[in-house]
Amino acid sequence: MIFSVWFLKLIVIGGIALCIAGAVGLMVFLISDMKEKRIW
Amino acid sequence: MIMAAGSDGTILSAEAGYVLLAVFSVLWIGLGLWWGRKAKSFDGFSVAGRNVGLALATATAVATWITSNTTMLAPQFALQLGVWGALAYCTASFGLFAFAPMSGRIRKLMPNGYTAVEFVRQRYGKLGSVPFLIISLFYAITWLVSMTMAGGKLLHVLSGIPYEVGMTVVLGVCVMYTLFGGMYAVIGTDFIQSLIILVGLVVVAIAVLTQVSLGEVHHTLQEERPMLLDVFFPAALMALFNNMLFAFGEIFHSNVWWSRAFAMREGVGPKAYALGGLIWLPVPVVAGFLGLAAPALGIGISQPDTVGPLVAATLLGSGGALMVFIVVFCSLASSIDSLLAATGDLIVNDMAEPLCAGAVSDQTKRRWSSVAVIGLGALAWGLAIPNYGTLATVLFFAGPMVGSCLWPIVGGLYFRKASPVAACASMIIGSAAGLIAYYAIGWFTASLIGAATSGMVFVAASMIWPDEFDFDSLAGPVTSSDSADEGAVDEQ
Amino acid sequence: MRLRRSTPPIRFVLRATASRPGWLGLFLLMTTTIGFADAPAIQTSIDGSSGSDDVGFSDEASGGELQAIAFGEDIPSRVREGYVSITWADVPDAARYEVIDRNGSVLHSGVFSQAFISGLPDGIYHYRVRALSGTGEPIAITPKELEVEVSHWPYRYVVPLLLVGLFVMLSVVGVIVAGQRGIVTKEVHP
Repeated sequence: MIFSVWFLKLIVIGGIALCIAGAVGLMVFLISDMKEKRIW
Repeated sequence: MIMAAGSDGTILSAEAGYVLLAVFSVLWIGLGLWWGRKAKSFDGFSVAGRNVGLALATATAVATWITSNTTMLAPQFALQLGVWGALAYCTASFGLFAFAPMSGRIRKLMPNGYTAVEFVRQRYGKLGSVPFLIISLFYAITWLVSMTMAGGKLLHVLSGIPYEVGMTVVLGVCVMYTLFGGMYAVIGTDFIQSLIILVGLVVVAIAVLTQVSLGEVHHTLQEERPMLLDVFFPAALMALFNNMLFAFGEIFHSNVWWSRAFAMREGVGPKAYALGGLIWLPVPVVAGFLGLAAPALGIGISQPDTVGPLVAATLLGSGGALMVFIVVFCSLASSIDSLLAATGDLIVNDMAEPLCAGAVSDQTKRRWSSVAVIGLGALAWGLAIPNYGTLATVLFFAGPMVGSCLWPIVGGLYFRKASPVAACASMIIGSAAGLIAYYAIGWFTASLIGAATSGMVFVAASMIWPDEFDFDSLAGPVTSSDSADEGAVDEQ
Repeated sequence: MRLRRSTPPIRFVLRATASRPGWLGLFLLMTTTIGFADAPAIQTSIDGSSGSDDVGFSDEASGGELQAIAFGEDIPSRVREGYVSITWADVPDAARYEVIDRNGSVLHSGVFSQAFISGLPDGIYHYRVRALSGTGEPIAITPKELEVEVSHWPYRYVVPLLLVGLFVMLSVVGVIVAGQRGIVTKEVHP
C-alpha cells in the first residue's frame, strides 16, 4: 500500500500555504507589538 | 540527467559565495553590536532583560528549531525514509507544543532563573545535576559541532569554498555577534532569520513545482524507489516515535529553550511556543519535498544530507543557489548563536559560579560569559575540523541521552514526589539502554528506547524513594511579586 | 533496476551471546516485554559473493583496457533500511561517475565519488561504477560488481516499537496535562 498522489499534494501544497501564513503571522505580531511598545 | 554545472560540480562560484558570506557577516555582526548596547549586564546578556514580546518570542522559537538539520536533514530523511520520513520530522514540532505550558510553569516557578541546570540543581541536588549537566553539555556541543560541520559542508557543496574556510567563517561570525549582543542579538537576528527562511523555502518549493509536477514525483518514486511511498515502510515506522521523543527530550532538557522561557515576558511563553510549533510544523515537509523530488529530476545524489540544497541549486541555477545559500546561512546562524549563548550561560551559571567560594558580581559574570562564548567557539572549531561522520550520525548519537532527560524534567516540574535518586537513575540507565539500542539496531530507535527505559526507572524509583519537594524554594532569594506560589499536583 | 527479486534464505538465528542483536533481544525483552531474540545476524563484509562477477555486463562495461576503480571498504553487504551509500576511489581524470546495474542502466550520475541509492524493496542488487572523461568516454570501471542485499526489518520489530513509542508519547502528554490541571485546580481551590 502506497501513499497516493493526492496525499502528497495535500502535504506539500498545505505545507507551503502554512509557511506563507507563518511569515505573515510573524509580521502581524511584530506590528502589533510595535504599536503597543512591547517588543522587548 | 541534470548535472551540476561548473568544473568542480558546484553551482555558485566561490567568489559569489565569499561575497554573500561577507554581506551577511557584516549584517549579523552589525546587528549584534547595535543590540549589544542593551546587553551590558549578565541579566541582559543571558535572558534579554526577561521582557521579550510575542513577535520576537515566537520567531525565536521558530528560527532556533529550524536548524541546518531542517534544511539538510529533512530532505535527507525524505530521501532515506520517504513520505514517512518527512512526516516523522514534522512531529518534532510536537516538542514545542508540549513545552508551551511547561514554559509558563518554568517562568512562574523561577522568576529569577537563568538555566535548566539551575532548576535541576535546586530540584534534585548534585545527584541529578551532575548527570544532567554532562548530558546537556554533550548534547549542546554535539549540536554545535554538527551545525558547524553543516556550514562547512554546505558552503563547499554550493560554492566550492573549502570546508575549513566556510566552517570557520560561519562559526566565527556567530561567535562575534553573540559575544557583542548576547541574547538580545540572538533573539533579534532570529526574527529576521525566521522570515528569510520561511520566505526562501516557499520560493524554492514553488520554483521546484514549476519544473516538476507532484504527479511526476509520485510516478518516479513509485517506479524507481517504491519503498519511499510505502505506507508500511518498516524503518520509517520504527523512526516515527523515536523522532518525536528525541524532539521532546531535546526541547525539555536544553538550556536553549529554558533560557528563552526565562527571557519571555510573563504570560508570553505558552503562546509563543505553541505558535512557534505551528509555524515550524510545515517546514520539514516543504524541505523534505526537495529530497523526494530529486529522483524525478534525475539529480544524482552523492551525500544525502546535501540533497535539498543540491536540488534547489541545480534546478534554479545561480538564483536558486543564492537563495539556498542565504536560507542555509540563516538556519545555521539562528541555531549556532542560540547554542553559544545558552551553553555559555550553563558554563558561567552552573560550572564557574558554583565553584567560586564567594559571591560573584553581575559584571564578573558578564565578562565570564564572553570568555565562555569564545571558548565554546574554539572547542566547536577544533571538533569540526576533522569532518567526522554524517550529520545524522553525529546528532543522533546524543538522542538516547536527551530522551532519558524527558521524565526527570516533566516529573520535577509538576510532582513533588519526584526524587533525586529517581532522576539520576533514570538518566543514567535510560542513556545506557538507548546507546545499546543505537548500536544494536540503529539510530532510529535510540531515543525511544532511552525515553521508555528512563520513564520506567523514574516512576519505579520515585515510588520506592519518594521526595517531598517544596516548589516555593525554587523562586530564589529575590522573590518578585509574580513568584511561584502554587503547589504541586500531589499536594492536593 | 531490480536484478533478482527472489531473495536468498535470510538466516534468522537464535544467538544470545555472539551477535549484538542477540543482546538487543534480551534488552528489549526487559523494556517492551516482547523479545526479539531471533534477530538476524548482520554481515559486514563487502562483495563477498563470487561467481556473479561480470555476469550481464557488456564488453564495453567490462572494458579490458579500462583502469580499475576500487569500491570503498565500509559499504554494507546487507541493509535493513532500503538505502545504501556506495563509495569508490577517486579517478584523477574523471569528469563524472555513473553507477550502473547489470543491465547497464544508469542509476546515478554525479561528479563526486559517492552515490546514495534509496527506496529499495527486499532483494539483491548488483552495482558497478564507471568513470567518464570530459567527452563522455569510459576511462575506468570497477572490475567486480558490488552485491547489496536489502532485507527490511520484520514487522514483529516494528509493531512493538510503534506501540511503545505511542505509549511513551501519550504518557508524556498525559503527565503534562495532569500537571497543568493540578496547578489550575490548586490556584482556584487552594
